[in-house]
Amino acid sequence: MGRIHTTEWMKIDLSSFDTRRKTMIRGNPVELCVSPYDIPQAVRAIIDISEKYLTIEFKYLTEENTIERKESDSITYILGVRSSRLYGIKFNIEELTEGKPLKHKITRRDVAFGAINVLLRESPQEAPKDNYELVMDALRAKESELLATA
Amino acid sequence: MIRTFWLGRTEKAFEIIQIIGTPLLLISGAMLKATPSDFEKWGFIKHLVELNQQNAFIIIPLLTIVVGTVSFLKKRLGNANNWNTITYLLEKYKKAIFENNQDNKDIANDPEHHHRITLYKFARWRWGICLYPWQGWMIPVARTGHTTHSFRIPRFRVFPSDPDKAEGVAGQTYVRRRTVPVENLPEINEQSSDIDIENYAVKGFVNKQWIEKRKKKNNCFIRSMIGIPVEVKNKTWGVMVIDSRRPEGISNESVLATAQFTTMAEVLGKLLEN
Repeated sequence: MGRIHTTEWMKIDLSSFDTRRKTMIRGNPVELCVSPYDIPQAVRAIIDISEKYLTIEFKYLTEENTIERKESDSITYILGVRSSRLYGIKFNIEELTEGKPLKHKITRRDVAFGAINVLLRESPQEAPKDNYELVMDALRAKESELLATA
Repeated sequence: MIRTFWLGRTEKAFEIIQIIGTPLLLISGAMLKATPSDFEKWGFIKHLVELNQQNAFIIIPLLTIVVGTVSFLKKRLGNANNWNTITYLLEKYKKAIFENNQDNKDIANDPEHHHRITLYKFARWRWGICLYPWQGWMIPVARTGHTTHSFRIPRFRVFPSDPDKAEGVAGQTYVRRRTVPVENLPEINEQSSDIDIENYAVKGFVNKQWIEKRKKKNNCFIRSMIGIPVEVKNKTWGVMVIDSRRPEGISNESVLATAQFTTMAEVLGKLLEN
């Protein structure tokens, strides 16, 4: 059985997010806001030392069943079955272990933000992109606590 | 109270129909095997058995359809107690936004009907006399307060395949799955200029004919509102529209920051599942 270390759920200060989205409706500029269901309320990290996985999980207003979607050998998305919201990202941190030459080291930050950028770029139009953008903001807000976990 | 206004009454009627209809159906089916001559001593029952056997081809299907339809409608319309609870939740939330407003204590003294929350449900088909019932509609199902609950509450067309055409804040909120705030709508009355009416139509996502029609009926015009999508089982089910006769607007922060919203969203989703 691996050594698993889990942080507490860290509440996210919603006022720190810019939830406004400018768009055009019937030829007129309008400012809307992201749906409250798409805004992450809290975040935590889970490190599985023996399996060398770091999972960052997000909490929302409501819960749902999730499904894992493997993006690559090192990145797996955890998505809501019905909403396709990002409930977590699981990534292989073997790349980040000590002993590797500095120029080959990929930071956890690069991997985490890179994974979300791929999701934003490659998701279909009906995917909740507002949610993915806010997940990026949540990660940025709690970067030091989450990505330094070991 | 929109649904609860008539739901409580019809729920009782449905229960009576089920209580009477189900045994009648069973008895009618059982009587098919009976021999009328066995009931010579009881003329009335013999007559009933004969009548049932002669007309069973109508009686049994008719009873089945009636009982089945009533069961279906009861399930679709929901339970009156659930709707009462939903209205109660909306009332508490309204109080948290308007009456406990620390920034503007005057709001707490406004009449109840000047600030409302209306819950709209998306329906693919609108059952009623209207043009284009198949185009997807936002139908009001619950509202705070004890007034302004008539059938004159507007319904809005959604046009799911053409989101720009969706009508009203309710329609636009549903198709875009985003919160839609609208503020500083001009005051509309008999003296309103064409520019004000045009401005209202553009900002409120309605057309001028809709405004003219409401003006003729002396309906009130909202000055600010915000539409918030409502999810059930993690899919957009409908919209909650918070409206006010004050023009200064209801900010996204004030409606979402209150702790009431989090509790309400969770409980509302569960209640609406039923």
